[in-house]
Amino acid sequence: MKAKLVPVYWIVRREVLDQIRDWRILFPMIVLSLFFPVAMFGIAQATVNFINRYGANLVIEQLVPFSILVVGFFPSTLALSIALESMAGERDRNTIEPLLSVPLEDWQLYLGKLISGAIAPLVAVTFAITLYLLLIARRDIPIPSPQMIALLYLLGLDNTLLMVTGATFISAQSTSVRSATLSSSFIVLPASFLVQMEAYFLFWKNSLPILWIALFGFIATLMFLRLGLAYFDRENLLGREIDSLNFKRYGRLFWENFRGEARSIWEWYRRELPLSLREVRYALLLFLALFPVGVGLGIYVADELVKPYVVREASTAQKDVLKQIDHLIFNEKSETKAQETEQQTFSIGMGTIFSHNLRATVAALFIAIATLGTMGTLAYLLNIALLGLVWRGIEWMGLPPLQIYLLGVFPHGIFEIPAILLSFSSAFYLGARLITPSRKPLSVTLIESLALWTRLFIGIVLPLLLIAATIESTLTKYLLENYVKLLTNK
Amino acid sequence: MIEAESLAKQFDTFWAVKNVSFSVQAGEVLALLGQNGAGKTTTIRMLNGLLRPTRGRARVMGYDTVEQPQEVRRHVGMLTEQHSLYLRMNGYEYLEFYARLYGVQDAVERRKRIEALLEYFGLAQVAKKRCGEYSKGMRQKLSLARALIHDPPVLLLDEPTSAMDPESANLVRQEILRLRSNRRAILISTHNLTEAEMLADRIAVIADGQILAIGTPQEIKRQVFGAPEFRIRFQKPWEGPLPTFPPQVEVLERTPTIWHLRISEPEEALPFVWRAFLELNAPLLTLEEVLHTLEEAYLAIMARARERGEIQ
Repeated sequence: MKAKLVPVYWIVRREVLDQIRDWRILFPMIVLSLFFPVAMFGIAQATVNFINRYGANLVIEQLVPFSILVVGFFPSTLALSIALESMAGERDRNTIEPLLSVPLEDWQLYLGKLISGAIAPLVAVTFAITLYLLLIARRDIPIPSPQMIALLYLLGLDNTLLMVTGATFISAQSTSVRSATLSSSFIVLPASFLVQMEAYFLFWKNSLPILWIALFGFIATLMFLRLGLAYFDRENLLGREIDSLNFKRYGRLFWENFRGEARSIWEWYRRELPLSLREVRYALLLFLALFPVGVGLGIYVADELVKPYVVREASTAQKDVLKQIDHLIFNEKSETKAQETEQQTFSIGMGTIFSHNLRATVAALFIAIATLGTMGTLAYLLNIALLGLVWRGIEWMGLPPLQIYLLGVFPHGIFEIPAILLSFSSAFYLGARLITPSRKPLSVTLIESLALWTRLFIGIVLPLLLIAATIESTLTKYLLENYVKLLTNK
Repeated sequence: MIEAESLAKQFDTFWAVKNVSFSVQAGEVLALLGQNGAGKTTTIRMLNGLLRPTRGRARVMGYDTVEQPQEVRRHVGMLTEQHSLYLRMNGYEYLEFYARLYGVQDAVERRKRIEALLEYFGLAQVAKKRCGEYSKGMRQKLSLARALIHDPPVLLLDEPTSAMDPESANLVRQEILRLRSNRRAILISTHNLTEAEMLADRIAVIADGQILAIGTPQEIKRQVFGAPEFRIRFQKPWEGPLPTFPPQVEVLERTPTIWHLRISEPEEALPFVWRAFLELNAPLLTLEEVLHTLEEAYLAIMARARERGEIQ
């Protein structure tokens, strides 16, 4: 392994030397890490003097961590200019081909570029924060606690790494520095949003959410790294001349992948769908294994977080609930009115149930694409957790959960749960496929994966959700009605 | 050393290379001759494992360019069309950087190689100058030195003199001629006929992603114009009878002072032709081969391919 890292070191060394020899990098680096903290210190001092006049010490305490965050954020923007240029710049200057011709593996080249893009901004961020801290330490400005200082360093480095990995990925996928620069908003906007959130929680002195944001940033960094390594392709860097959206081609690719080799719907169902199911089988098994975890999570949340707030006397709760159900089902209406309402409830109920489930499955897809599969898993666990949560809720009300589940969940659940399972697992598979090393361009992998997801969605998930919604709004309703009648002796 | 079998490469809907097959042996120089956009660079990139063939396969030093690209690159020295140097590095640093990436780890060996190459290409005096200060010729020579830093048995030279002034181009050509050795296979891509004829043992004429003709310049000319043609001049007009020629001889044209013959195996047939005229007491003055230039052959190949609809 050490031997494989040696060439990475040489790539980094060359790049860093090149950066040091370029005044266009040195100048902003010096300004942002040396003069900017000094200027910020001046502003902080003036603000402190102003505030002291009115005795608003509380504001000062919040202002200092915020100003450290700002001092750390601005030098990190250097990451953009350096990393965005790293691959695309070599391509523009025609120096990329000899570099790609060396007997190094793709990951070695990519890592070399990534590390070299990170060094200058990381140094600048660390230096700027340290200098600023030293400056305020010498004055009568309250210094944040060591934990808060550590957190601020962590945020500065975390934000920088996120921008470097994102910008390097964009650079490796761009055809020129121009196109890389134009795409930089994909990094700037989320990074700015993260910093705003960090600032918000800093003002509220709430460290836990900041740690979560830092963790999210770190996970996003890892995902960008994985994505970059997966899609770093010598051919892509040399073979592509322009970035264009060829919708006609994408449409054709999608249709080819969606249809497969089937010539009829029957053939598609008989041959292509089983192939798609086979392709997602491991994701399906994983999500099946996560099912009890989700239920357990629901029970845990119910016991640890919900119970203390909602549980009252079991009998009172039961009485209340039965009264409410009774009211909902029977209402005090005329028979004709009741029939009308029932008819309406049936139609609205089915549509509402179906559209709700549809939204959940489609949302799972978007979450999976946006977070490369990771958050889709969380969304699935939360959905399944409801089963555990509701189970506990029924127990607290003194009702028999098994009976209620057999009557109120099982009839439609045997269709709905597999549909949710398949939809979430195929969305997860899509995300996982995006970060799996591939010789195909990202756009092609995305379209192929979308076609696979759509196949399973249209072929299996949608029909199952329709059946489930129909059952839930008829049979389940009928069973629950009669069960409640039995319990209330009507 | 280099084997390409039915190589083809498609970018989106465009076939940059349709069907390319050839081989280059050790000690041989093959020139891929074709106009811009013929598929030369794409072919070279496929041979270096930078592009994956859509169809066909290629082997370099026995290594498959798709399955073992690192091994291929380890054995290949690549010269790209552009003078692709890091302009803030000096010549020595530049070669040292690539020597390390090509795995020349021993410091003494590395220094020896760099110094030898700088000396060989006449760059020793400017070794400590930044590449940005080099002339075009010097930059291309440094690129050549880079391609040789790991002493590769295979050299792929993509348009080595394009966009260079005649003097610099000539310098680089002389250097390439010096690089020929019994153990090295060299593939050059060029659109310059003179360069191809000057540097290569064999030439492959490539157009529209396909090889239209391949062989030594003589073989290519023969492929186009048929057997060699000879012109016989008489001292004075001669109206003698038709001599008895061997079967390899075909009379193309006959005037009182000049006869135009096509002789398929001249080494064997020519003495008999000469003797036949002498036996008839023909007043022979000269016998000369009618020479065709490579340019004529190239243009004829292209014209025929267009007629047949093979290229656009």
